[in-house]
Amino acid sequence: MKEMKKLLALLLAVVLTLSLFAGCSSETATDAGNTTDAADSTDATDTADTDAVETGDAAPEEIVPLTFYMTCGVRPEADRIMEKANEIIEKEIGAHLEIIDADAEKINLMISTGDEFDLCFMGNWGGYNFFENAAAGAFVDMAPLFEEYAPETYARVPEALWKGVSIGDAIYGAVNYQQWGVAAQKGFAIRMDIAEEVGYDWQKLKGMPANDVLRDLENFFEPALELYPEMIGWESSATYNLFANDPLYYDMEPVGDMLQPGWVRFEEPDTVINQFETEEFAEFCEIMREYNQKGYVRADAATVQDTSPDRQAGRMLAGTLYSWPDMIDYAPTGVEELTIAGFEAANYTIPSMSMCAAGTCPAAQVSTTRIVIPAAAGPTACTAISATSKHPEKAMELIELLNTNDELFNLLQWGEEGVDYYYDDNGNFQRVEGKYTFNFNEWQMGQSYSPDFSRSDFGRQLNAAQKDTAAKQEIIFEADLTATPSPVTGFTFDPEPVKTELANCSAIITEMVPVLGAGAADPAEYLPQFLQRLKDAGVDTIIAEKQAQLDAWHAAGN
Amino acid sequence: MLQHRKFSVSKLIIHAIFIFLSLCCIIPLLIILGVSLTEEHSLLVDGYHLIPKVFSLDAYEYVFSGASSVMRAYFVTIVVTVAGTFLHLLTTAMLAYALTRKEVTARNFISFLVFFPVLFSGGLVPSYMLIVRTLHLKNTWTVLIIAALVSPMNVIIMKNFFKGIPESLIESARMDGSSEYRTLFQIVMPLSTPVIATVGLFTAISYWNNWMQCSLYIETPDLYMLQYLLQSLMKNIKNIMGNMDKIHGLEQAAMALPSEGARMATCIMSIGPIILLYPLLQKYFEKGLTIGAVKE
Repeated sequence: MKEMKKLLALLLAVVLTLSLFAGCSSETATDAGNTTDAADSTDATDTADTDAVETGDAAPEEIVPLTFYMTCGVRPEADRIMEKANEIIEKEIGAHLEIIDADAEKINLMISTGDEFDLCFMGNWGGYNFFENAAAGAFVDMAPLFEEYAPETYARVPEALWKGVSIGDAIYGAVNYQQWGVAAQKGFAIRMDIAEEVGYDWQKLKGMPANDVLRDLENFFEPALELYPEMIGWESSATYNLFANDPLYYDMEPVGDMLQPGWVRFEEPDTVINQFETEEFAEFCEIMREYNQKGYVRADAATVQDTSPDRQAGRMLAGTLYSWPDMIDYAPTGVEELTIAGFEAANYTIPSMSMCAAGTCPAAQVSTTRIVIPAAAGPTACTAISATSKHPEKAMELIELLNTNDELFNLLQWGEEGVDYYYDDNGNFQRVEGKYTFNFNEWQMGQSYSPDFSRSDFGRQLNAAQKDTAAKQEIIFEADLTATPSPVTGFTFDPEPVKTELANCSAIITEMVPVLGAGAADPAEYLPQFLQRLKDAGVDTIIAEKQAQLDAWHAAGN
Repeated sequence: MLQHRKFSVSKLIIHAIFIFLSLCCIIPLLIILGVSLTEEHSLLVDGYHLIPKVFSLDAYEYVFSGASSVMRAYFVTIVVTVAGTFLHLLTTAMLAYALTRKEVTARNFISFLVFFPVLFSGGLVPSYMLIVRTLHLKNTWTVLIIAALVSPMNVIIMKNFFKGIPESLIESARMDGSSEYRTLFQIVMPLSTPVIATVGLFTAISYWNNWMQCSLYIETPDLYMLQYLLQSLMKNIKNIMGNMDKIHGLEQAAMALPSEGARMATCIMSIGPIILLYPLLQKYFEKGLTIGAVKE
């Protein structure tokens, strides 16, 4: 009897375990079935997929399944859109696309475990580790595939950007060239109505060095803050200050990570310098100290993390400007006088300050820096084909299709016109709440660039503002072809030899730069101390190592 | 009885302290609720208030804008929490009970196997490989449950509790002809309600709050759990806010997003039904909290 019970217990355990796994395998099977069902190929099953692998392109009637991982969040009613999109994809290239939401961590995990997938979004920020993964052999070299499978994708992107996503001659990412272009010119946005009120002439800032602009802005902040004491003059936070996080303002470019010591000047692109030892930084700290004491920055600027509430509340008197051309280089049609009255006369909407709703907080925009293509422009957003993909050629064809088929791109990006979005009486693009949306992540899917802008909501060009946007974009696209690319485009710094020094310096920088950059400490005392601590931590070794690697890179013919 | 109502200074102080502590816990929650019901712009201009200055349900509208997916996620989460907690308690109780029985020969070795991963776990990459490539559990209900089926800590807690049950009780049950299963389910378990309630609550909360499993192993939106779905809604906002300088034009996108209010609304949503578990299980807590605190 006891024996019997033991046997029964054992049997029960075995059955339970088996049923558990049986449950899983049958579930996976139905899952796969569902996917293929959606492909509208009624008799395609798991085995058909494997067949397709073996026969490849020899049997064009087989639909090749492709998976594309990107961080697009949950898309409402995605099934409806994907079904329509796949009709196009199947007709054009005989593939079935599945877009899967995954964050950077998961994509990296899939790469390191050798999981099978076809395409993924990649970048050099936010944890995506493009170069690290590419160097580890995670991606297919696209260079030999472009000519046959994606000629248009390659041709329309400026050559400098391809260098940015290459290691040696191998290209590991298809650049997702943006409708905003890549050439950048930075400047300042000034609260226009208040500037007029206190009689501040913002136009003279054009082309001024950043520190001079900051000095001049004091003439604006003083009267403006007297009138509006609840406002904030200049934005500075624990994570952002103009010098440390925006080298272009000081005509410099980082070699390696932005916050590491070791930048180059555009004027002297072959010499690596410690950016914190420059006169510019010393002066910047002094100005910020003055700002701090006069109350032009938030008193807690050295510790505040997120400043977006200030911006959204319309509290900023001045801020950075990343969009270009500015109002001086491209005055909107019909606006002769760059004043609020001028804009009103021309019936033209004035741009708003950063993160403020349209029609509030009018911003005067003036650019001050040179026009460059930043080194990081290429890998900022690109699509990579996994080395584990069984159909790299099909994946390449899909990239080309996403980039060239506007109907498909718009469908995936915005959904269906009339259902998910519409154009209002003024010709402005409007989304329908709760309907399909790509969550503003279209830059993860492909090139949003198109010569006639038909890919974006600016496509209609019905009203004056949209026409101006298009005209501005044309200026940018022209600049993309002629602007000087960053002198360190394509150079990747290998931090391995100076890892300890970098870690030590990084700790000091994280501690001191927010304090100095927000003017919370007196630079006369703390700046020399900061520089000495960096020296003790081995900053010169880092600079020397960067210089040596840069020299070697130049010597290799770059 | 009247004596208890007598005024005493010490009692007043003690009550004051506890009222203060309770307020410290409750007020933030109420502020979250208040913020989630406030209009976004008023939030930026007027700041946080307990009672919304400008009342609005916009934040909830945003969270529910994919209403069907939120409801679906609630369903998945409830099923996983209920089934997961039940199975977790079952496995843990059976394992812990076996480990307290002297008749189990490899007892110490099995205990070692259970506790070893507390100190040295395999890490993310091997577990991902095991689940995805060997067990093929990607996109299944199963993975949501079994990936957290046994927790060494809970086994230790239960084992310690079971040890406190008099040996003679189990022996007499056995003498009366009770099988091992019957002894466990009809003698030991009814005596262990405090530990079951405690471990059950921990487990239910961890299943409820689980998003990691979902983010790693689930790719079909049909199987998204609530926390992952809400997190993914927030992630979009954060992603855009955090990388505005990287991608031109993101600023335009950022403007259109509700953030503060939506963040708080998701918070309220995710507290959801799980908060109801606390009062239900409270009566078991007093005893449950001493579990593991006393060693004999």
